[in-house]
Amino acid sequence: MIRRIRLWNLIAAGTITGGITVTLIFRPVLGIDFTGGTLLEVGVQVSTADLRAAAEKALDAPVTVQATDGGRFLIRTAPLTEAQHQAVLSGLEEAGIVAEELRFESIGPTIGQELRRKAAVASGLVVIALVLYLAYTFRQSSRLLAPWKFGIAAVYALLHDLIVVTALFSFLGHFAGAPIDTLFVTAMLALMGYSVNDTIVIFNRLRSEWRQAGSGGLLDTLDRAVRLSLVRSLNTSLTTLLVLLALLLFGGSTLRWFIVALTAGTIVGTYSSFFVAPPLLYALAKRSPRGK
Amino acid sequence: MTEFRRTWWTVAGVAALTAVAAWISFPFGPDIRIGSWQPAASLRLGLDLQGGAHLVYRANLEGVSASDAPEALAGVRDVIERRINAFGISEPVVQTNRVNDEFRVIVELAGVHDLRRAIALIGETPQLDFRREVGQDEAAAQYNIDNPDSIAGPIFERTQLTGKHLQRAAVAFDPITSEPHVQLSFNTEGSALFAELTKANLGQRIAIYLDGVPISAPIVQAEITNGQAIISGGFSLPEAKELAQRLNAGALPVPIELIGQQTVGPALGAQAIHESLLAGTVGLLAVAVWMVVFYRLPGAAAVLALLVYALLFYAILLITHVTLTLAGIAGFILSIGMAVDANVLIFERFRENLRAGKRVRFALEEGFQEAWRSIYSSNISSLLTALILYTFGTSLIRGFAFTFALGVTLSMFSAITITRTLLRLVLSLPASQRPVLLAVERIVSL
Repeated sequence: MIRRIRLWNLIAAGTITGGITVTLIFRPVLGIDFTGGTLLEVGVQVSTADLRAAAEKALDAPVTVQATDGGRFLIRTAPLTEAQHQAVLSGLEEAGIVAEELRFESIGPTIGQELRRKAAVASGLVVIALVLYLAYTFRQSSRLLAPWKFGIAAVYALLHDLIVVTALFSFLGHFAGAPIDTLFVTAMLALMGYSVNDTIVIFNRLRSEWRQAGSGGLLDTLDRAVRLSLVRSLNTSLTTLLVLLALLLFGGSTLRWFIVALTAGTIVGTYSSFFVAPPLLYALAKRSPRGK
Repeated sequence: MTEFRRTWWTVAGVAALTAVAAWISFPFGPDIRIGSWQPAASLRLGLDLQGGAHLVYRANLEGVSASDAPEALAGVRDVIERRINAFGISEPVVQTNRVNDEFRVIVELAGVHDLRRAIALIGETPQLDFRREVGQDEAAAQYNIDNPDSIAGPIFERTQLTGKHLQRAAVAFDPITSEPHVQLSFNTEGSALFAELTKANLGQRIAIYLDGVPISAPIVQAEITNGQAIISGGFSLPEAKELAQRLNAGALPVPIELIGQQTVGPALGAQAIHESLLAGTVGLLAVAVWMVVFYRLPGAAAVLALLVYALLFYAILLITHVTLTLAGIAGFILSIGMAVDANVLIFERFRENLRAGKRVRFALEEGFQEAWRSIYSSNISSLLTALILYTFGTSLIRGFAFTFALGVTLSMFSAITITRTLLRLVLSLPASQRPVLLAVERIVSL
């Protein structure tokens, strides 16, 4: 299944390069919790243009208005004080737009900075913890392969997943207003765990197959491990995707982008544990064969 | 025989646990109480589910020395707490925290319908002061106004007596008109000042100002030495009550500024609950159908274990009094996927073993043993991630991390203990050992 090692490695490298390019072209749109800003969600029957005009007139500042589910709008602008917040609401009323205020979030720039720092610290720690954990899990594999090679391959797959989902969100941010916010970072961190899980299961299988078979080339063993893990991985992803799909269809709009990130991550995470991590592991092993 | 016994002991244990969980989740019979501890009667919902506000204030501590800062901040917290309590909000959360050099007060109000007023109330500093009437000539001299006649209306001048000297404010009723008014009691210093003021201004008016606006300006009939004053401003009863409460709450020791807020209206929260329930049910059903179709009998056992898992989860939320947020619900629903993963790993090994010609009994036990290592290591990495998210996350992320971690832990239990025991029992019946029930082509040896 993964015998065409060089092809799969090329595809993975291409995907990563492509992902980085897309991210650089479209530039991810940071959410208000990272930049500081205001998000006002209202329920009203009105056109986007009218709503924007009324809000801009009330605030005397530029706003962006985005329609979500039927009759619901997200108004985004710079951080507002409570007085400005009330000014927008009364301004809308004056313009004859009787809007129900569903949600209001205003994040000052200092809080934004702090959340950004927290997200960075948490991400860094998760990556370090996972690398250490991988090293620990594979500490006894030295007869087969150096433990760090398992670690490198798993982390490579993890980066691959992160880059693909970030690229997707840069693209979606550009065309559909998907923000890179605290929830996105949370989804990414949860995915890191998921992606590493999948890879660990396959590498564990590789070790037990190697132990049982005792003979045969690394490529054969690796391929067998991947094939034997296939049904399990697909089934697990499928059940996870089933619940995510239910959330996406019925779960409302507040967490929609969070669920989209998790869904995309689950798919790419499953793919990478077959076609990104094992081929790289093989390439690493071939460069400096050890033992048999 | 001993193994048979052990299986039954496990069955009894799981059944007892399930019964307790059911008892906590759907209370019947006597209340559960251990000492002063009791499980919550219903789920505690987060701000995003029942509507509410998360407000972040920055305390301006300019001019306050570093050693006094914590005390000033605690003072701010107490005043805000009193103001909120006066508003009649149940269980407000008021916390102080320090981020680098900034001192903050975080206020969480749940289930408030008039958020706008609540926010206004927290930020407002009621300032009460007493002013004496000044004659036109005196005023003209004091403010260097050339023509005393150009001054219209009465002029009032601040005195030393302010809300600082207030001991207590209460609502009382005028014995004649039975209109509500607010009765003030001064402390010793205030009583002395008030006595002095009334003595010096006999027959003249003293104005009571609230936030710089005159509320009432009664004429002094006699010197008042008992330290009691009355504000009558044609209040309605609720207005009088609110004023008294606000005066009692006192002024903030230092100014505060609202730097961040997240508010969710109750309508959006109710909708979110409805939508998540629907999504959770549909998701659970879809997974159940898939498991039964794909794995048959073991799949059905896994679904049963999954139901016990959901019940235990609910009971633990009640036991720990944890606040459930929207992100928390997402964490739980996601953990259903993880819960199934453990079962999938086991069943795949089981089927492989069956195909390899092993007997059903051994195929099952070995399947559990072989899959355990993978289940264990993959769940540990999930728990690690959840732990870090919980430690460094905001309240939103913490909600997700907690339910996710709880789900992962419980799922290990449900997959290993519950599913395994159920399958051991069912597969000991010869009738269950059919290929069609175990989702394999044939069973080589029985």
